[in-house]
Amino acid sequence: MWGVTGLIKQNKVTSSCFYRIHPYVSFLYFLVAMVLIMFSMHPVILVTGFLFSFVYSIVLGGRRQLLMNLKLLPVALLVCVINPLFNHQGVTILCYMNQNPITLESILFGLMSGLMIYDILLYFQIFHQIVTEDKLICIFAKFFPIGSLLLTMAFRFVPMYRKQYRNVQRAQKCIGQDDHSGNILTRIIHGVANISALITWCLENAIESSDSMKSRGFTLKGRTYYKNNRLTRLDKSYLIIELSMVVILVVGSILKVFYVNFFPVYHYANTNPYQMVFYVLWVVFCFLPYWMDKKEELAWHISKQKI
Amino acid sequence: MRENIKKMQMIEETQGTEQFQKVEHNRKRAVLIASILVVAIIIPCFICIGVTLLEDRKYYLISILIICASLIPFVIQIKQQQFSSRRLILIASMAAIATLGRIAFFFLPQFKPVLAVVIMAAILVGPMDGFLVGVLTGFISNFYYGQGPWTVWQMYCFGLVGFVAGLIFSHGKHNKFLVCLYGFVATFLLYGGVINFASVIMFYSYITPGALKASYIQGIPFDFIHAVATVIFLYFIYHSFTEKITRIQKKYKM
Amino acid sequence: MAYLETKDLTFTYALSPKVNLDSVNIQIEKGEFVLMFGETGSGKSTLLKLLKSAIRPEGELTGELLFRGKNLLTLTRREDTTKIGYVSQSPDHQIVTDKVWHELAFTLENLGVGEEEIRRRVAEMAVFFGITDWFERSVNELSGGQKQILNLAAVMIAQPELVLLDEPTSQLDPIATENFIALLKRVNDEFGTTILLSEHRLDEALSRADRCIVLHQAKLLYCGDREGMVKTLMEQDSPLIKFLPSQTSLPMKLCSRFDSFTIKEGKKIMEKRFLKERSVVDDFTHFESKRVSRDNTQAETNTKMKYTPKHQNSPIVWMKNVWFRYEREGKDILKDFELKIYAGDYISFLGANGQGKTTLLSLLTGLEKPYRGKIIFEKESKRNQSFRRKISMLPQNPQDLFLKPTVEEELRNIEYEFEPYAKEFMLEDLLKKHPYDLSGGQQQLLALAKVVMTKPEILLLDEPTKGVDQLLKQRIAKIIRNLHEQGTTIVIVSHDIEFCAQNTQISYFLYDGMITQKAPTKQLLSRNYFYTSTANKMMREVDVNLVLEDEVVEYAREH
Repeated sequence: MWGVTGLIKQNKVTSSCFYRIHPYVSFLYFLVAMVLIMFSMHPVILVTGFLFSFVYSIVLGGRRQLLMNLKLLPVALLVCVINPLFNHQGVTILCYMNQNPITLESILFGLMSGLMIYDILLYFQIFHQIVTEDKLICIFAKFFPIGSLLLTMAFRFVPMYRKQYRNVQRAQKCIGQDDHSGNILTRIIHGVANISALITWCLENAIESSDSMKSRGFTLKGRTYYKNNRLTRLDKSYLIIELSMVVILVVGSILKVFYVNFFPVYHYANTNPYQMVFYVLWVVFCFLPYWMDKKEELAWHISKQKI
Repeated sequence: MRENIKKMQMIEETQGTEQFQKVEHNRKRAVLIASILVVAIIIPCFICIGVTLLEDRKYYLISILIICASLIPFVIQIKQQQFSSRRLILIASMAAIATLGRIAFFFLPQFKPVLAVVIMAAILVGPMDGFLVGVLTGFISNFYYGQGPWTVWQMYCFGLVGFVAGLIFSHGKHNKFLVCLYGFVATFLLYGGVINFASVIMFYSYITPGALKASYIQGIPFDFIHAVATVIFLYFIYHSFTEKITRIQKKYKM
Repeated sequence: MAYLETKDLTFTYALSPKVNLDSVNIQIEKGEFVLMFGETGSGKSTLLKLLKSAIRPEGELTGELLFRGKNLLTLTRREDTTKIGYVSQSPDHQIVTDKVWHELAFTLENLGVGEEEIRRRVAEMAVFFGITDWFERSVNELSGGQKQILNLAAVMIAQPELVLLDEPTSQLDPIATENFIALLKRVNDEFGTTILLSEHRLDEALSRADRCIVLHQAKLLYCGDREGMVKTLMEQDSPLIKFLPSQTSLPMKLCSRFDSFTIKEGKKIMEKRFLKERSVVDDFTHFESKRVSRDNTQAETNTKMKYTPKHQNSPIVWMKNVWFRYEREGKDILKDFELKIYAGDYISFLGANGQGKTTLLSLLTGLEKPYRGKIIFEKESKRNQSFRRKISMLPQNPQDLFLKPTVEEELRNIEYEFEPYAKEFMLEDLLKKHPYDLSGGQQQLLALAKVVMTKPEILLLDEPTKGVDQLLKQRIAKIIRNLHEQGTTIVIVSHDIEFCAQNTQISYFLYDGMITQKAPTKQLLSRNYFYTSTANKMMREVDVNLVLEDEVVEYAREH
């Protein structure tokens, strides 16, 4: 793993194909992958999910991401430990703790739960790097237009207010009114005063923003919602591939391919060839972003060689 | 295209008539009542169904789905509504300020003015928009704090606290004491209650009475600090906030 | 029939006893570049807002507003949006979305234009306004000048016939202002869009205007061509003469010429007036000899400054080889910076944007710390903290300082006995008002009052004249001069060359984190070719030491 991170250049995220693909594709991927991981406790799903999310988050984020991933590990471990302590179902009793049985099944269940939480956390790490603000706005523009407008405005305001808050803080310090080195109580009092000043500032100036919206025709009937991303042919083909895989995976779930039972006895459907197909499909699906990146890299090299 | 524009103009013109306003008013009222019903009845039903009928290991997914489902009435209602530019700006900027409050008080864990700002904003803009302020705050602030499975829960809690605050205070009179009291109760019971439940689902994956008890008992000190913080911030900002708002409303006839 | 016309337009704001516009009659032809000016509160903004029905203020309106012969008030919202554009003062608050492309598309979204059509028009506008490089960026990363260009582009995308601009450059530095006005002229030339621009700084805009509107105390003083405007101001001896840039006012005062609007024209007229008796050869030698003599005097003053016995004491602030950067991997903002400030100094820092001027102030106030080098404050060893308190700074935006709901509380917050200050800063009548209800200039005065009330030994001012009109500027200059006479050390960072030349003793020119020039202000400016006052640019071949307008007038009296 260390070797991998060493090779990573800084702008890995923005140059990755998965980043540049249309938000519909990446969104559908995240949605399905995360729902499946939450839905099923099947080891194949969880372990594949773990392998992918761990590696891919580091491919995108480099060494810093690796540290972040390790920081998240205790949460997962906590879940692993806590479950057997509170859950006493299962038939294979290993020992007793405070007169409560600790069972093999509950340990396995805890392990899988921990892995699931870890997978989800890692997926959110990838999500954070891939799905930027304008992608979110693109998605919302389609399904919840007014929400997309609210989002884009809030994303505009937060950095602006943050800057203004800092300006207020500094201005107060420059006339000796705010002492940052003071104790907690004075810090809170100054913080409240500054926030209050900020609220005045933003309310007073909101009028100008609202005038600007009005003078540019906001609240006229028939507003459209523009998206800067265009659905290209490549996006469409990926979308079709993804959708067909999703359909098969859903069918698999209905057929209880990804079904595991922990209590009272740990048991999951035996691996027979037809189930293997679903497992392989899941692996392929799970690693889809990785394949996308690789395919594009390959296409690039081939196109260069042709010259 | 041209015809379309003409049609739109026609609609714009009819908007001002009295009858239209009356219908609009009735509709708004109906939608408000419906949304109250949804929050008060349907969501607990959902939770009951989820707890009793569904199989053991899907709590996680089910709980998130319940939340998403309970958001749908709001979304539908919001989609129907007309948003003026001032209303939108107010919602977005209040959410931004609450987010900033979370960032500004980074040095004190649990001690955040987020809920105080959401409550005050909800009192000012009413239940629906208060809900939006809360949900938006939850979503945006986690962009700076790190998204995770908790985001949905937080959005939901902030939204709920805002919604109830709007219901209680936006029509009737309010004073500092009552608002502070609400702030304490809402933070401790509403926010703390839901978030502790969420942490049971997140950490234990499996709901047992023991786990629930443990989680709620562990949560008490955190929730208490959080509730006290909310009360303190409400105490400090209540006057200046209402003052500012009435001034703005007077100045610009909002 | 004029394109845009007002007949006896009178307007009073609701809840305000004062008449804001008093029987104003203006006519504007199609495709004109119209410049409107007048002192703060003269009704410029009100007039512009009345022309844009979406944001028309509430109040009592009499008289007529005609747009292409039709009553302007009958325009539908849709027509108002597509035909009339409006750009306001603040670069920041007009922007409502977080991405540049989204802001451009906003108007078209509101109009219900389809996606592909929006894509086409957005692309077109981005190219015209030179936005392509930052098209996908977040608006929060843009500079003030870029933001204002974006605001203009976002309005132009609806293809309006008339664009109203309310002091769009008041928050910008001179270079950004020049860019913006030039772009505006291009819009006017290439699309034939009618422009109605209100400004308080005319240096860049006047040379491009086709027509001028002058408002004074809610009344129309003049509406017509530029020469007539200058003549009228001169004949009436109006206080608004102060608004005219040097290239217009000097020829007017000294040669009674009313047709000079660029520095080129002004220079020609002035040289004709002063150099007419000399031949070309004489002229050249004269210039050369002048320059030699100037170089000598300069050398003299330089040595004087080095060994001058004036500063016998040690400096009160000594920046010793200071290096500074904001982030570890970032670039150095200050490099090996060496500076001594002595008690009683009145100094200014000049230079373009991003050369480290504001950073320098944050270092002096202790908001930032250098990563290498030292800043030594006098008596630091014993009373570090208490000495620091005596340095106060006026921030660029006065609103950063406001915490309270009235001016009175704002002042009392600093000191209980605030009455003498209120009087000095002309805030007596405004005590009960909300700070945000004050005009920009009054806000600046209030902020300055708050800073001065902390009784600093060293007063730092960051752009004290930004967005302030000419009349208030003189008031501020006087206040600062008084403080200086009482012994306060003053440090100014400014783009306002004329202001610095008039007031400060010594100037430093900053470039790339280093001091490249240090000299008495006037000398520093007269030595420069580009970075100098307008009057100096015009007069440098007559006498290079003339920097201020008043000096030129004085010189003319002698010759």
